[in-house]
Amino acid sequence: MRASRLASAREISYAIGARVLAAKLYREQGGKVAWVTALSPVEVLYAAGIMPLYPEQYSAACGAFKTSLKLVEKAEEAGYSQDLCSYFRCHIGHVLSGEGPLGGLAKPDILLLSGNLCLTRVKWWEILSEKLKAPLFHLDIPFVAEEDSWHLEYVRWQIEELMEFLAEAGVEVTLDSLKRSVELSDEASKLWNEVMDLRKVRPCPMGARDAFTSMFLIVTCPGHPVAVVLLKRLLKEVRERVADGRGALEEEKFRVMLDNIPTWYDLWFVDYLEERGAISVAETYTYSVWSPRLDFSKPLESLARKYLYAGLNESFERRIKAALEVAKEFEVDGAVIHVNRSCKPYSSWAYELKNALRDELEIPSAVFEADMTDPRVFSREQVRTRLDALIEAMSERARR
Amino acid sequence: MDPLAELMQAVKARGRGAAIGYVCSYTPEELLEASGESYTRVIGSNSTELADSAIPTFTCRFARRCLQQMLEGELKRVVGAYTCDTVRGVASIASWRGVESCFINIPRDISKKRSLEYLVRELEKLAEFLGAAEGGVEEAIEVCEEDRRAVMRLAELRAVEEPPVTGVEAYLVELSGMLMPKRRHLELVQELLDTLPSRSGATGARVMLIGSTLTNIKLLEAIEAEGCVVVYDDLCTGCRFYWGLAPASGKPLERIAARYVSRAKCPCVTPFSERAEYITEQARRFRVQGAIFLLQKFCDPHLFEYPALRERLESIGVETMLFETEEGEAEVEKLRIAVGGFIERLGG
Repeated sequence: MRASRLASAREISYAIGARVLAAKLYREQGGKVAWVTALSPVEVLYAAGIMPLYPEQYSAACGAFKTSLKLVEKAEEAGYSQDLCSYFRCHIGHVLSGEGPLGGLAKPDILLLSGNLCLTRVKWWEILSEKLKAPLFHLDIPFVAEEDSWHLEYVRWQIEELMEFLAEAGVEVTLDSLKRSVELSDEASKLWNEVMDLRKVRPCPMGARDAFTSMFLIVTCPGHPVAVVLLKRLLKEVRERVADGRGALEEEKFRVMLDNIPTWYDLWFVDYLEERGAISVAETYTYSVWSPRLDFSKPLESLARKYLYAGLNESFERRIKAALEVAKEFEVDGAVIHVNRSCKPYSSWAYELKNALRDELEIPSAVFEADMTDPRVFSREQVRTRLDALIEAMSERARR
Repeated sequence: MDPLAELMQAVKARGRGAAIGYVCSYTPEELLEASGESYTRVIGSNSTELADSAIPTFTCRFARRCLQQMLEGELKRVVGAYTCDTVRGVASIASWRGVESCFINIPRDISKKRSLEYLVRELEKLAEFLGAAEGGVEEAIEVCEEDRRAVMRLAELRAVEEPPVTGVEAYLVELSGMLMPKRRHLELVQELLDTLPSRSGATGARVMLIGSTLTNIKLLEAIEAEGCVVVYDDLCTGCRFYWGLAPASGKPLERIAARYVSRAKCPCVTPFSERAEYITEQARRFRVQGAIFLLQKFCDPHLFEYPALRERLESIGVETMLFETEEGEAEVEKLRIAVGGFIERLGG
């Protein structure tokens, strides 16, 4: 039996798709559109009335719509290596061919890039800037292995520069509008964290499919009222389930943690686990990275902190400790670690995470190699074998 | 001993026995020199056994070999710069596994005052980690600058019609400088420069190499065996390490930071437009007929820019070829054959 889905999560998925369409109308009516990387300070853009679109998210959608293969092949025909990130290949394939679901992305007036997750996106946005001749702002976010004060100062200064860049492009951001946007972003963070935290409850009220769908809202709309409205509805529905003692699964046998960006074109592995009574209670991809609390009275500092200490941008020391904490708090029985060929920064911790879970908490893991949007390197048979072994190990652990 | 033979020996020894290892050409070697300890560039072990259980095998093999070297424990400390995602991963794993290490961030746009100030803070952190005193840094800058000038002088000589050194010889000079004591390297390069006027020139189609790292010299030998001469390399274990000098005056760490503005551009920290300009300028300056992209498999920064850079080079009449490598012995012959076909295209 698979997990029962949340109606409010479905609403969120409609709203996310609608944004792609709305952006075209917005631009036609004279509004400005920006293509931004995930974990960029879009609170500033929302305060300026600029509509951000997320090529990474669009690539994930291409995966879900099962059109990604055609697009990555377009990129490869143009000379881009098959070993490059498939989000990039998918999106550049869309840019080069004009093909893609939802009628494609509205063209950008501005490109905004944050260097906090990977170099891939830096090179990607540079290529976009070359091809589309759109002005690019690069927020140069250093990697933070240590909590040195100058990192924060450096990022904060650049957010001020971003505001100047926007002013030059004819869009003013007032401090008041920024404070309002940061306040909305904080509210969305608070709601998202509450939803995620409710998954600690037994039985867990929300499965991975709903978590993956809903997270797009906290990724793309922090600072916009729609995030607050829809997350309130999500929280309400999840709370109701908790109050009624209803889990996403009828019978919850095991609680698992998923790691890395999922295989969007085939979430079969989630269903396979659920059919065996294993519910995902936390995903390293959906949990906490997107939703730190912000102090709207100090908008620049809050944003600098949010986008500096951003998940993959931190040392293993911090990230692995955080993952172990989640595993303990959510009473996780096992982990499924996707070694994702398209995301080297995310995948480089895979074996260390697996070892730490085993050594510190005696939690077994299933590790499989695949790709988030390129279906050619995904083998159900290989994954099935690993998941079966995990179920067996979790059963064994439960018997002890 | 012939200076080239001693440089070759240093390459073969791969810096073994040094106390500190550094990763990436963006590591300020002046601070290592000022630490007073022996140091070497980390160019990797032959095996990847330990590394392969720590990082996915779709990571570039050079990086896995470097991680292996760090995990083997011969180096007491490791330093470097966070440039590509893979270096970040390797550094993170090494640190997590208890290797004493310190890495710095390199800002993207160093022409801005605040970015330069940020870089100076990062350099201070590294200087402290290495125990490099300010007075020592000043002296170390002079030694490193002198070595850079010597290597660049040698490189510039390759712009002439029949260069007095082959690409293999020039590369030995470049790579060895990262693997042996700096002062000795400088002496040898100067000695070599003195002997050059009496040498006969290398002939053949003029080719430049583009890529990140190269540690298997046989690959380079295979290229030149096909009748071309490599007159410039844009490799981070080659010319890119030396190109560009620090300003003549200023506070030591500010001078080191300022050099990063003028040095050869790496795709990890340079916008594509600047990089393309730099590469085409070097192609013109060294009058190259062809460019070989000798890229490490899974080297994203280079793979990203390859299609556009190839187009840019071809637009100025430079033919190109791509060869992805993991530097295995079996690739040597494959590369030789591929280059043979390429030279024919160049009319050589």
